[in-house]
Amino acid sequence: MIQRHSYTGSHLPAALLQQVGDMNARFSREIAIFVLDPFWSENQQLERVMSQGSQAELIDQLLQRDRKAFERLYDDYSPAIYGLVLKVLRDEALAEDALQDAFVRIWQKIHTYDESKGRLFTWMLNVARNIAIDKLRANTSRKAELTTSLQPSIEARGPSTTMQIDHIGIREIVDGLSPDQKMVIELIYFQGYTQAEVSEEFGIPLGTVKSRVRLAMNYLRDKIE
Amino acid sequence: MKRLQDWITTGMIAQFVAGKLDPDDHAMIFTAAKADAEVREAIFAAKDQMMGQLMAHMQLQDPEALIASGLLTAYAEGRLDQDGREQVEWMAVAHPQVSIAMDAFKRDMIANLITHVKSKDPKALIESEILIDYVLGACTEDERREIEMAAVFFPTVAAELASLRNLDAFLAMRGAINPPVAARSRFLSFMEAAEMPADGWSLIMPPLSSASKPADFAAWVDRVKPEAIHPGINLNAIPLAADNDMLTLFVVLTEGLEEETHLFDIERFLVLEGSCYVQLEHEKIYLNPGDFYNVKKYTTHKVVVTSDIPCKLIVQQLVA
Repeated sequence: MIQRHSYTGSHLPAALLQQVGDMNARFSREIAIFVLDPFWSENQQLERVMSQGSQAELIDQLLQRDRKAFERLYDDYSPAIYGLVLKVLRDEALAEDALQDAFVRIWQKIHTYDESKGRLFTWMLNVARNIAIDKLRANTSRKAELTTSLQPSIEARGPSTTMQIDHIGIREIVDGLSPDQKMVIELIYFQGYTQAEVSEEFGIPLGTVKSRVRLAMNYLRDKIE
Repeated sequence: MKRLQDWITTGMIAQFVAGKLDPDDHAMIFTAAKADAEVREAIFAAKDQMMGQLMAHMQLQDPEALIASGLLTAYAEGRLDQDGREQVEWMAVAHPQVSIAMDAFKRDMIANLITHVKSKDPKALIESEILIDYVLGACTEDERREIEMAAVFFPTVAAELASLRNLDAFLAMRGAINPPVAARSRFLSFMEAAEMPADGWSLIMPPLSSASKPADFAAWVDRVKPEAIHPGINLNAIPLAADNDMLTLFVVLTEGLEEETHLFDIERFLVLEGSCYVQLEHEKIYLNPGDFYNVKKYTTHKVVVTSDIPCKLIVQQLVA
Protein backbone atom coordinates (compact mmCIF):
# COMPACT_ATOMS: atom_id res chain seq x y z
CA MET A 1 0.00 0.00 0.00
CA ILE A 2 1.42 3.40 -0.91
CA GLN A 3 1.48 5.64 2.08
CA ARG A 4 -0.43 8.81 1.37
CA HIS A 5 0.41 11.97 3.24
CA SER A 6 -2.19 14.65 3.53
CA TYR A 7 0.19 17.49 4.18
CA THR A 8 -0.73 21.07 3.45
CA GLY A 9 1.87 23.69 2.72
CA SER A 10 0.44 26.13 5.24
CA HIS A 11 1.92 24.14 8.13
CA LEU A 12 5.44 24.75 6.89
CA PRO A 13 7.83 26.86 8.89
CA ALA A 14 8.56 29.99 6.88
CA ALA A 15 12.28 29.68 7.56
CA LEU A 16 12.41 26.43 5.65
CA LEU A 17 10.71 27.98 2.70
CA GLN A 18 13.19 30.85 2.83
CA GLN A 19 16.10 28.47 2.56
CA VAL A 20 15.27 27.53 -0.95
CA GLY A 21 15.71 31.01 -2.30
CA ASP A 22 14.81 31.58 -5.88
CA MET A 23 12.92 28.37 -6.46
CA ASN A 24 9.30 28.93 -7.22
CA ALA A 25 6.69 28.30 -4.56
CA ARG A 26 5.54 24.90 -5.72
CA PHE A 27 8.99 23.41 -5.80
CA SER A 28 10.24 25.16 -2.72
CA ARG A 29 7.36 23.67 -0.79
CA GLU A 30 8.22 20.19 -1.95
CA ILE A 31 11.88 20.61 -1.14
CA ALA A 32 11.10 22.00 2.28
CA ILE A 33 8.80 19.12 3.02
CA PHE A 34 11.49 16.74 1.89
CA VAL A 35 13.67 18.18 4.63
CA LEU A 36 10.99 17.41 7.19
CA ASP A 37 10.13 13.97 5.92
CA PRO A 38 12.52 12.13 3.67
CA PHE A 39 9.79 9.88 2.34
CA TRP A 40 7.34 12.63 1.61
CA SER A 41 8.89 13.65 -1.67
CA GLU A 42 9.07 10.10 -2.92
CA ASN A 43 5.46 9.44 -2.10
CA GLN A 44 4.30 12.73 -3.54
CA GLN A 45 6.28 12.15 -6.67
CA LEU A 46 4.84 8.70 -6.96
CA GLU A 47 1.39 10.09 -6.54
CA ARG A 48 2.01 12.75 -9.14
CA VAL A 49 3.35 10.16 -11.56
CA MET A 50 0.49 7.78 -10.98
CA SER A 51 -2.32 10.30 -10.75
CA GLN A 52 -4.55 10.88 -13.70
CA GLY A 53 -4.22 14.62 -13.19
CA SER A 54 -3.36 16.91 -16.06
CA GLN A 55 0.09 16.74 -17.55
CA ALA A 56 -0.94 18.76 -20.59
CA GLU A 57 0.67 21.96 -19.36
CA LEU A 58 4.01 20.27 -18.74
CA ILE A 59 3.91 18.65 -22.16
CA ASP A 60 3.22 22.00 -23.80
CA GLN A 61 6.25 23.48 -22.08
CA LEU A 62 8.36 20.52 -23.14
CA LEU A 63 7.16 20.85 -26.73
CA GLN A 64 8.34 24.46 -26.67
CA ARG A 65 11.74 23.11 -25.59
CA ASP A 66 11.41 25.09 -22.37
CA ARG A 67 14.72 24.53 -20.59
CA LYS A 68 13.29 25.07 -17.13
CA ALA A 69 10.60 22.49 -17.81
CA PHE A 70 13.22 19.98 -18.95
CA GLU A 71 15.30 20.73 -15.89
CA ARG A 72 12.31 19.97 -13.69
CA LEU A 73 11.64 16.83 -15.66
CA TYR A 74 15.25 15.80 -15.15
CA ASP A 75 15.14 16.57 -11.43
CA ASP A 76 11.87 14.70 -10.95
CA TYR A 77 12.63 11.60 -12.95
CA SER A 78 16.37 11.15 -13.40
CA PRO A 79 16.68 9.07 -10.19
CA ALA A 80 13.98 6.64 -11.35
CA ILE A 81 15.50 6.44 -14.81
CA TYR A 82 19.05 6.12 -13.51
CA GLY A 83 17.91 3.39 -11.11
CA LEU A 84 16.31 1.51 -13.99
CA VAL A 85 19.25 1.75 -16.41
CA LEU A 86 21.76 0.97 -13.67
CA LYS A 87 19.88 -2.22 -12.85
CA VAL A 88 19.87 -3.23 -16.48
CA LEU A 89 23.51 -2.33 -17.18
CA ARG A 90 25.14 -2.91 -13.77
CA ASP A 91 27.88 -0.46 -14.61
CA GLU A 92 27.86 3.12 -13.39
CA ALA A 93 29.66 4.63 -16.39
CA LEU A 94 27.41 2.85 -18.89
CA ALA A 95 24.36 3.78 -16.84
CA GLU A 96 25.37 7.43 -16.80
CA ASP A 97 25.72 7.36 -20.59
CA ALA A 98 22.34 5.67 -20.89
CA LEU A 99 20.77 8.30 -18.64
CA GLN A 100 22.19 11.07 -20.82
CA ASP A 101 21.10 9.32 -24.02
CA ALA A 102 17.63 8.83 -22.58
CA PHE A 103 17.15 12.50 -21.69
CA VAL A 104 18.60 13.65 -25.00
CA ARG A 105 16.18 11.36 -26.81
CA ILE A 106 13.30 12.57 -24.67
CA TRP A 107 14.30 16.13 -25.53
CA GLN A 108 14.51 15.33 -29.23
CA LYS A 109 11.43 13.15 -29.48
CA ILE A 110 9.02 14.74 -27.05
CA HIS A 111 6.75 15.68 -29.96
CA THR A 112 6.29 12.01 -30.83
CA TYR A 113 4.84 11.21 -27.41
CA ASP A 114 1.09 10.71 -27.38
CA GLU A 115 -1.45 9.46 -24.91
CA SER A 116 -1.84 6.05 -26.51
CA LYS A 117 1.56 5.30 -24.97
CA GLY A 118 0.31 5.92 -21.46
CA ARG A 119 1.45 8.70 -19.20
CA LEU A 120 4.57 10.72 -19.96
CA PHE A 121 6.59 8.91 -17.29
CA THR A 122 5.67 5.51 -18.74
CA TRP A 123 6.87 6.66 -22.14
CA MET A 124 10.09 7.99 -20.61
CA LEU A 125 10.67 4.65 -18.91
CA ASN A 126 10.21 2.90 -22.24
CA VAL A 127 12.68 5.21 -23.94
CA ALA A 128 15.22 4.61 -21.18
CA ARG A 129 14.64 0.86 -21.02
CA ASN A 130 15.15 0.50 -24.77
CA ILE A 131 18.35 2.52 -24.66
CA ALA A 132 19.72 0.50 -21.77
CA ILE A 133 18.81 -2.82 -23.39
CA ASP A 134 20.43 -1.72 -26.68
CA LYS A 135 23.60 -0.82 -24.79
CA LEU A 136 23.55 -4.14 -22.99
CA ARG A 137 23.14 -6.05 -26.24
CA ALA A 138 25.83 -3.99 -27.95
CA ASN A 139 28.11 -5.26 -25.25
CA THR A 140 27.76 -8.98 -25.76
CA SER A 141 30.65 -9.95 -23.54
CA ARG A 142 28.95 -8.23 -20.65
CA LYS A 143 25.79 -10.07 -21.37
CA ALA A 144 27.60 -13.41 -21.38
CA GLU A 145 29.28 -12.55 -18.10
CA LEU A 146 25.97 -11.47 -16.68
CA THR A 147 24.22 -14.64 -17.73
CA THR A 148 26.81 -16.97 -16.29
CA SER A 149 26.99 -15.11 -13.02
CA LEU A 150 23.28 -14.78 -12.58
CA GLN A 151 22.05 -18.31 -11.97
CA PRO A 152 24.17 -19.12 -8.90
CA SER A 153 23.74 -15.66 -7.47
CA ILE A 154 19.99 -15.85 -7.54
CA GLU A 155 19.90 -19.27 -5.99
CA ALA A 156 22.51 -18.59 -3.37
CA ARG A 157 21.80 -15.17 -2.11
CA GLY A 158 18.09 -14.82 -1.65
CA PRO A 159 16.61 -11.39 -1.65
CA SER A 160 19.33 -9.24 -0.17
CA THR A 161 22.20 -8.77 -2.62
CA THR A 162 23.26 -5.33 -3.74
CA MET A 163 21.80 -3.79 -6.81
CA GLN A 164 18.84 -6.09 -6.76
CA ILE A 165 15.30 -5.09 -6.05
CA ASP A 166 16.15 -4.25 -2.49
CA HIS A 167 15.25 -0.59 -2.20
CA ILE A 168 13.04 0.72 0.56
CA GLY A 169 9.56 -0.60 0.19
CA ILE A 170 10.30 -2.88 -2.70
CA ARG A 171 12.08 -5.51 -0.68
CA GLU A 172 9.22 -6.13 1.68
CA ILE A 173 6.81 -6.28 -1.20
CA VAL A 174 8.98 -8.50 -3.33
CA ASP A 175 9.69 -10.81 -0.39
CA GLY A 176 6.14 -12.06 -0.69
CA LEU A 177 6.95 -13.59 -4.07
CA SER A 178 8.09 -17.18 -4.43
CA PRO A 179 11.78 -17.59 -5.38
CA ASP A 180 10.75 -18.57 -8.93
CA GLN A 181 8.62 -15.48 -9.32
CA LYS A 182 11.32 -13.30 -7.81
CA MET A 183 13.82 -14.60 -10.32
CA VAL A 184 11.68 -13.85 -13.39
CA ILE A 185 10.78 -10.37 -12.15
CA GLU A 186 14.44 -9.68 -11.49
CA LEU A 187 15.48 -10.82 -14.96
CA ILE A 188 12.66 -9.23 -16.88
CA TYR A 189 12.14 -6.02 -15.00
CA PHE A 190 15.66 -5.17 -14.07
CA GLN A 191 17.95 -6.95 -16.48
CA GLY A 192 16.28 -6.39 -19.77
CA TYR A 193 15.53 -10.03 -20.52
CA THR A 194 12.50 -10.84 -22.63
CA GLN A 195 10.31 -13.68 -21.44
CA ALA A 196 11.55 -15.77 -24.39
CA GLU A 197 15.18 -15.14 -23.43
CA VAL A 198 14.56 -16.23 -19.85
CA SER A 199 12.99 -19.40 -21.19
CA GLU A 200 15.89 -20.09 -23.53
CA GLU A 201 18.78 -19.23 -21.24
CA PHE A 202 17.48 -20.87 -18.10
CA GLY A 203 15.78 -23.82 -19.76
CA ILE A 204 12.34 -23.00 -18.42
CA PRO A 205 9.37 -23.57 -20.76
CA LEU A 206 8.05 -20.25 -22.10
CA GLY A 207 4.55 -20.95 -20.79
CA THR A 208 5.97 -21.42 -17.30
CA VAL A 209 7.96 -18.18 -17.51
CA LYS A 210 4.85 -16.32 -18.62
CA SER A 211 2.65 -17.69 -15.90
CA ARG A 212 5.29 -16.90 -13.26
CA VAL A 213 5.54 -13.32 -14.52
CA ARG A 214 1.76 -13.02 -14.55
CA LEU A 215 1.39 -14.36 -10.99
CA ALA A 216 4.22 -12.14 -9.76
CA MET A 217 2.80 -9.04 -11.37
CA ASN A 218 -0.70 -9.70 -10.10
CA TYR A 219 0.72 -10.17 -6.61
CA LEU A 220 2.72 -6.92 -6.82
CA ARG A 221 -0.27 -5.00 -8.14
CA ASP A 222 -2.45 -6.22 -5.29
CA LYS A 223 0.21 -5.00 -2.89
CA ILE A 224 0.52 -1.51 -4.29
CA GLU A 225 -3.05 -0.75 -5.26
CA MET B 1 31.53 36.56 -44.98
CA LYS B 2 34.18 34.38 -46.51
CA ARG B 3 33.64 31.37 -44.31
CA LEU B 4 29.97 31.24 -45.26
CA GLN B 5 30.82 31.53 -48.95
CA ASP B 6 33.19 28.60 -48.58
CA TRP B 7 30.52 26.54 -46.89
CA ILE B 8 28.06 27.30 -49.67
CA THR B 9 30.48 26.57 -52.52
CA THR B 10 31.79 23.36 -50.97
CA GLY B 11 28.22 22.19 -50.49
CA MET B 12 28.48 22.04 -46.71
CA ILE B 13 25.33 24.08 -46.21
CA ALA B 14 23.40 21.77 -48.52
CA GLN B 15 24.77 18.76 -46.66
CA PHE B 16 23.82 20.37 -43.37
CA VAL B 17 20.24 20.76 -44.61
CA ALA B 18 20.21 17.16 -45.81
CA GLY B 19 21.53 16.02 -42.43
CA LYS B 20 24.58 14.43 -44.06
CA LEU B 21 27.41 16.20 -42.24
CA ASP B 22 29.44 14.44 -39.60
CA PRO B 23 28.48 15.53 -36.07
CA ASP B 24 31.43 17.93 -35.61
CA ASP B 25 30.80 19.83 -38.84
CA HIS B 26 27.08 19.80 -38.14
CA ALA B 27 27.67 21.31 -34.71
CA MET B 28 30.02 23.92 -36.19
CA ILE B 29 27.43 25.12 -38.71
CA PHE B 30 24.64 24.92 -36.17
CA THR B 31 26.62 27.10 -33.76
CA ALA B 32 27.40 29.58 -36.52
CA ALA B 33 23.73 29.69 -37.54
CA LYS B 34 22.71 30.42 -33.98
CA ALA B 35 24.99 33.44 -33.87
CA ASP B 36 24.63 34.75 -37.39
CA ALA B 37 21.44 35.61 -39.28
CA GLU B 38 23.29 35.42 -42.61
CA VAL B 39 24.12 31.80 -42.04
CA ARG B 40 20.47 31.17 -41.19
CA GLU B 41 19.40 32.84 -44.43
CA ALA B 42 21.78 30.63 -46.37
CA ILE B 43 20.33 27.57 -44.65
CA PHE B 44 16.82 28.74 -45.53
CA ALA B 45 17.76 29.16 -49.14
CA ALA B 46 19.35 25.72 -49.21
CA LYS B 47 16.22 24.22 -47.64
CA ASP B 48 13.99 25.85 -50.23
CA GLN B 49 16.25 24.61 -52.97
CA MET B 50 16.30 21.09 -51.61
CA MET B 51 12.54 21.03 -51.24
CA GLY B 52 12.13 22.39 -54.79
CA GLN B 53 14.51 19.77 -56.22
CA LEU B 54 12.79 17.01 -54.32
CA MET B 55 9.37 18.06 -55.62
CA ALA B 56 10.70 18.42 -59.17
CA HIS B 57 12.23 14.97 -58.91
CA MET B 58 9.00 13.47 -57.59
CA GLN B 59 6.99 15.12 -60.34
CA LEU B 60 9.13 13.32 -62.91
CA GLN B 61 8.41 9.92 -61.34
CA ASP B 62 5.57 7.83 -62.70
CA PRO B 63 2.71 7.80 -60.17
CA GLU B 64 0.96 4.86 -61.84
CA ALA B 65 4.10 2.74 -61.50
CA LEU B 66 4.19 3.50 -57.81
CA ILE B 67 0.52 2.63 -57.39
CA ALA B 68 1.06 -0.67 -59.23
CA SER B 69 4.24 -1.51 -57.28
CA GLY B 70 2.62 -2.60 -54.04
CA LEU B 71 4.59 0.00 -52.10
CA LEU B 72 1.37 1.71 -51.06
CA THR B 73 0.11 -1.44 -49.36
CA ALA B 74 3.42 -1.75 -47.56
CA TYR B 75 3.10 1.89 -46.58
CA ALA B 76 -0.48 1.46 -45.36
CA GLU B 77 0.59 -1.53 -43.28
CA GLY B 78 3.48 0.39 -41.75
CA ARG B 79 6.10 -1.96 -43.21
CA LEU B 80 8.31 0.68 -44.85
CA ASP B 81 11.45 2.12 -43.36
CA GLN B 82 11.80 5.86 -42.97
CA ASP B 83 13.25 6.43 -46.46
CA GLY B 84 10.51 4.39 -48.07
CA ARG B 85 7.85 6.16 -46.07
CA GLU B 86 9.19 9.56 -47.03
CA GLN B 87 9.37 8.61 -50.69
CA VAL B 88 5.72 7.56 -50.70
CA GLU B 89 4.67 10.68 -48.81
CA TRP B 90 6.49 12.99 -51.20
CA MET B 91 4.96 11.17 -54.16
CA ALA B 92 1.57 11.71 -52.58
CA VAL B 93 2.28 15.42 -52.24
CA ALA B 94 3.51 15.65 -55.84
CA HIS B 95 0.78 13.49 -57.43
CA PRO B 96 -2.86 13.73 -56.32
CA GLN B 97 -3.65 10.27 -57.74
CA VAL B 98 -1.05 8.71 -55.40
CA SER B 99 -2.62 10.50 -52.49
CA ILE B 100 -6.08 9.23 -53.48
CA ALA B 101 -4.86 5.65 -53.94
CA MET B 102 -2.98 5.82 -50.66
CA ASP B 103 -6.07 7.00 -48.82
CA ALA B 104 -8.11 4.17 -50.31
CA PHE B 105 -5.53 1.57 -49.21
CA LYS B 106 -5.33 3.09 -45.77
CA ARG B 107 -9.08 3.25 -45.35
CA ASP B 108 -9.56 -0.39 -46.29
CA MET B 109 -6.78 -1.58 -44.10
CA ILE B 110 -7.84 0.50 -41.14
CA ALA B 111 -11.46 -0.61 -41.49
CA ASN B 112 -10.30 -4.26 -41.51
CA LEU B 113 -8.07 -3.72 -38.53
CA ILE B 114 -10.80 -2.00 -36.54
CA THR B 115 -13.22 -4.86 -37.30
CA HIS B 116 -10.50 -7.33 -36.32
CA VAL B 117 -9.72 -5.63 -33.02
CA LYS B 118 -13.38 -5.05 -32.16
CA SER B 119 -14.07 -8.75 -32.66
CA LYS B 120 -11.54 -9.66 -29.97
CA ASP B 121 -12.62 -10.81 -26.55
CA PRO B 122 -11.28 -8.19 -24.11
CA LYS B 123 -11.36 -10.69 -21.27
CA ALA B 124 -9.15 -13.13 -23.18
CA LEU B 125 -6.79 -10.30 -24.03
CA ILE B 126 -6.49 -9.36 -20.37
CA GLU B 127 -5.96 -12.95 -19.31
CA SER B 128 -3.25 -13.58 -21.90
CA GLU B 129 0.34 -12.44 -21.30
CA ILE B 130 0.37 -10.04 -24.21
CA LEU B 131 -0.37 -6.92 -22.17
CA ILE B 132 2.59 -7.64 -19.90
CA ASP B 133 4.79 -8.14 -22.97
CA TYR B 134 3.51 -4.82 -24.24
CA VAL B 135 4.31 -2.88 -21.08
CA LEU B 136 7.77 -4.43 -20.98
CA GLY B 137 8.35 -3.41 -24.59
CA ALA B 138 8.60 -7.04 -25.69
CA CYS B 139 5.87 -7.33 -28.32
CA THR B 140 5.89 -6.86 -32.07
CA GLU B 141 4.78 -3.70 -33.85
CA ASP B 142 1.56 -5.38 -35.01
CA GLU B 143 0.77 -6.52 -31.49
CA ARG B 144 1.56 -3.08 -30.13
CA ARG B 145 -0.87 -1.45 -32.53
CA GLU B 146 -3.61 -3.96 -31.76
CA ILE B 147 -3.21 -3.46 -28.03
CA GLU B 148 -3.28 0.31 -28.26
CA MET B 149 -6.39 0.10 -30.44
CA ALA B 150 -8.04 -2.42 -28.11
CA ALA B 151 -7.46 0.03 -25.26
CA VAL B 152 -9.44 2.62 -27.22
CA PHE B 153 -12.38 0.26 -27.81
CA PHE B 154 -12.47 -1.69 -24.53
CA PRO B 155 -12.38 0.21 -21.22
CA THR B 156 -11.43 -2.97 -19.33
CA VAL B 157 -8.32 -3.36 -21.49
CA ALA B 158 -7.46 0.29 -20.95
CA ALA B 159 -7.85 -0.17 -17.18
CA GLU B 160 -5.66 -3.29 -17.14
CA LEU B 161 -3.02 -1.52 -19.18
CA ALA B 162 -3.11 1.50 -16.87
CA SER B 163 -2.69 -0.78 -13.87
CA LEU B 164 0.30 -2.58 -15.41
CA ARG B 165 1.86 0.74 -16.34
CA ASN B 166 1.32 1.96 -12.80
CA LEU B 167 3.16 -1.07 -11.48
CA ASP B 168 6.01 -0.32 -13.90
CA ALA B 169 6.09 3.31 -12.73
CA PHE B 170 5.89 2.21 -9.11
CA LEU B 171 8.80 -0.19 -9.41
CA ALA B 172 10.86 2.47 -11.18
CA MET B 173 10.09 5.18 -8.61
CA ARG B 174 10.82 2.85 -5.74
CA GLY B 175 14.05 1.71 -7.35
CA ALA B 176 15.22 5.29 -7.87
CA ILE B 177 18.91 5.99 -7.32
CA ASN B 178 20.33 9.50 -7.49
CA PRO B 179 22.55 9.80 -10.55
CA PRO B 180 26.00 11.40 -10.25
CA VAL B 181 25.76 15.19 -9.98
CA ALA B 182 27.91 15.59 -13.10
CA ALA B 183 25.21 13.89 -15.17
CA ARG B 184 22.88 16.80 -14.55
CA SER B 185 25.31 19.40 -15.87
CA ARG B 186 26.00 17.17 -18.85
CA PHE B 187 22.32 17.24 -19.78
CA LEU B 188 22.05 20.98 -19.14
CA SER B 189 25.07 21.58 -21.39
CA PHE B 190 23.44 19.56 -24.11
CA MET B 191 20.29 21.70 -23.87
CA GLU B 192 22.28 24.90 -23.90
CA ALA B 193 24.16 23.85 -27.03
CA ALA B 194 20.94 22.83 -28.75
CA GLU B 195 18.98 25.91 -27.81
CA MET B 196 17.74 28.19 -30.54
CA PRO B 197 18.08 31.97 -30.82
CA ALA B 198 14.82 33.92 -30.62
CA ASP B 199 14.17 33.64 -34.35
CA GLY B 200 15.85 30.28 -34.48
CA TRP B 201 12.69 28.28 -34.92
CA SER B 202 12.90 29.42 -38.49
CA LEU B 203 15.85 27.02 -38.77
CA ILE B 204 14.09 24.02 -37.35
CA MET B 205 10.35 23.54 -37.69
CA PRO B 206 8.78 23.90 -34.24
CA PRO B 207 6.49 21.09 -33.15
CA LEU B 208 2.89 22.23 -32.76
CA SER B 209 1.46 22.45 -29.28
CA SER B 210 -1.47 24.21 -27.67
CA ALA B 211 0.93 27.09 -26.98
CA SER B 212 1.65 27.54 -30.72
CA LYS B 213 0.64 30.79 -32.36
CA PRO B 214 0.13 31.50 -36.07
CA ALA B 215 3.00 34.02 -35.85
CA ASP B 216 5.41 31.17 -35.03
CA PHE B 217 4.91 29.89 -38.57
CA ALA B 218 4.81 33.22 -40.40
CA ALA B 219 8.40 32.89 -41.61
CA TRP B 220 7.58 29.52 -43.16
CA VAL B 221 4.21 30.41 -44.63
CA ASP B 222 5.49 33.68 -46.10
CA ARG B 223 7.91 31.69 -48.22
CA VAL B 224 5.12 29.75 -49.94
CA LYS B 225 4.74 31.10 -53.47
CA PRO B 226 1.16 32.19 -54.28
CA GLU B 227 1.17 30.13 -57.49
CA ALA B 228 1.72 27.00 -55.42
CA ILE B 229 -1.91 27.23 -54.33
CA HIS B 230 -4.46 26.21 -56.94
CA PRO B 231 -7.81 27.91 -56.45
CA GLY B 232 -10.89 25.75 -56.88
CA ILE B 233 -9.26 22.66 -55.37
CA ASN B 234 -10.58 21.43 -52.02
CA LEU B 235 -7.22 20.48 -50.62
CA ASN B 236 -3.92 22.24 -51.26
CA ALA B 237 -1.11 20.81 -49.16
CA ILE B 238 2.27 22.43 -49.48
CA PRO B 239 5.15 20.81 -47.62
CA LEU B 240 7.08 23.29 -45.49
CA ALA B 241 9.55 20.99 -43.84
CA ALA B 242 10.32 17.36 -43.31
CA ASP B 243 12.59 16.76 -40.39
CA ASN B 244 12.72 15.28 -36.94
CA ASP B 245 10.24 12.50 -37.88
CA MET B 246 7.76 15.18 -38.73
CA LEU B 247 6.17 16.33 -41.98
CA THR B 248 4.83 19.87 -41.79
CA LEU B 249 2.31 21.03 -44.36
CA PHE B 250 0.69 24.32 -45.10
CA VAL B 251 -2.87 23.32 -45.93
CA VAL B 252 -5.52 25.40 -47.68
CA LEU B 253 -8.90 23.74 -47.42
CA THR B 254 -12.13 24.90 -49.04
CA GLU B 255 -14.56 22.13 -48.00
CA GLY B 256 -12.91 19.74 -45.59
CA LEU B 257 -11.14 16.42 -45.11
CA GLU B 258 -12.81 13.05 -45.46
CA GLU B 259 -13.18 10.75 -42.52
CA GLU B 260 -9.92 9.08 -41.53
CA THR B 261 -8.19 7.27 -38.68
CA HIS B 262 -4.49 7.47 -37.94
CA LEU B 263 -2.79 4.26 -36.94
CA PHE B 264 0.84 5.08 -37.46
CA ASP B 265 1.01 8.77 -37.00
CA ILE B 266 -0.24 11.58 -34.89
CA GLU B 267 -1.74 14.58 -36.65
CA ARG B 268 -1.76 18.03 -35.11
CA PHE B 269 -3.02 21.22 -36.59
CA LEU B 270 -3.20 24.92 -35.99
CA VAL B 271 -5.78 27.13 -37.69
CA LEU B 272 -4.22 30.22 -39.29
CA GLU B 273 -7.22 31.66 -41.12
CA GLY B 274 -10.91 30.80 -41.59
CA SER B 275 -12.66 28.26 -39.40
CA CYS B 276 -13.66 24.60 -39.33
CA TYR B 277 -14.87 21.86 -37.03
CA VAL B 278 -13.49 18.43 -36.30
CA GLN B 279 -16.18 15.75 -36.23
CA LEU B 280 -15.36 12.91 -33.85
CA GLU B 281 -17.57 9.93 -33.11
CA HIS B 282 -19.61 11.68 -30.44
CA GLU B 283 -18.35 15.22 -30.51
CA LYS B 284 -17.84 18.27 -32.70
CA ILE B 285 -14.95 20.61 -31.97
CA TYR B 286 -15.09 24.08 -33.48
CA LEU B 287 -11.80 25.73 -34.36
CA ASN B 288 -10.97 29.37 -35.11
CA PRO B 289 -7.74 31.12 -36.01
CA GLY B 290 -5.09 30.39 -33.40
CA ASP B 291 -6.79 27.16 -32.24
CA PHE B 292 -4.74 24.00 -31.96
CA TYR B 293 -6.06 20.46 -32.28
CA ASN B 294 -4.32 17.16 -31.63
CA VAL B 295 -5.88 14.21 -33.47
CA LYS B 296 -5.35 11.24 -31.23
CA LYS B 297 -4.19 8.01 -32.73
CA TYR B 298 -6.89 5.45 -33.50
CA THR B 299 -9.60 8.13 -33.40
CA THR B 300 -11.84 8.47 -36.45
CA HIS B 301 -12.33 12.07 -37.42
CA LYS B 302 -13.22 14.35 -40.29
CA VAL B 303 -12.80 18.07 -40.84
CA VAL B 304 -15.47 20.41 -42.23
CA VAL B 305 -14.73 24.02 -43.20
CA THR B 306 -17.28 26.49 -41.81
CA SER B 307 -15.90 29.80 -43.08
CA ASP B 308 -16.69 31.41 -46.44
CA ILE B 309 -13.00 31.86 -47.07
CA PRO B 310 -10.72 28.79 -47.32
CA CYS B 311 -9.44 27.51 -44.02
CA LYS B 312 -5.65 27.77 -43.79
CA LEU B 313 -3.86 25.43 -41.41
CA ILE B 314 -0.47 24.22 -40.36
CA VAL B 315 -0.70 20.43 -40.30
CA GLN B 316 1.99 18.23 -38.76
CA GLN B 317 2.09 14.50 -39.20
CA LEU B 318 4.49 12.63 -37.04
CA VAL B 319 5.44 9.04 -36.91
CA ALA B 320 4.95 7.85 -33.38
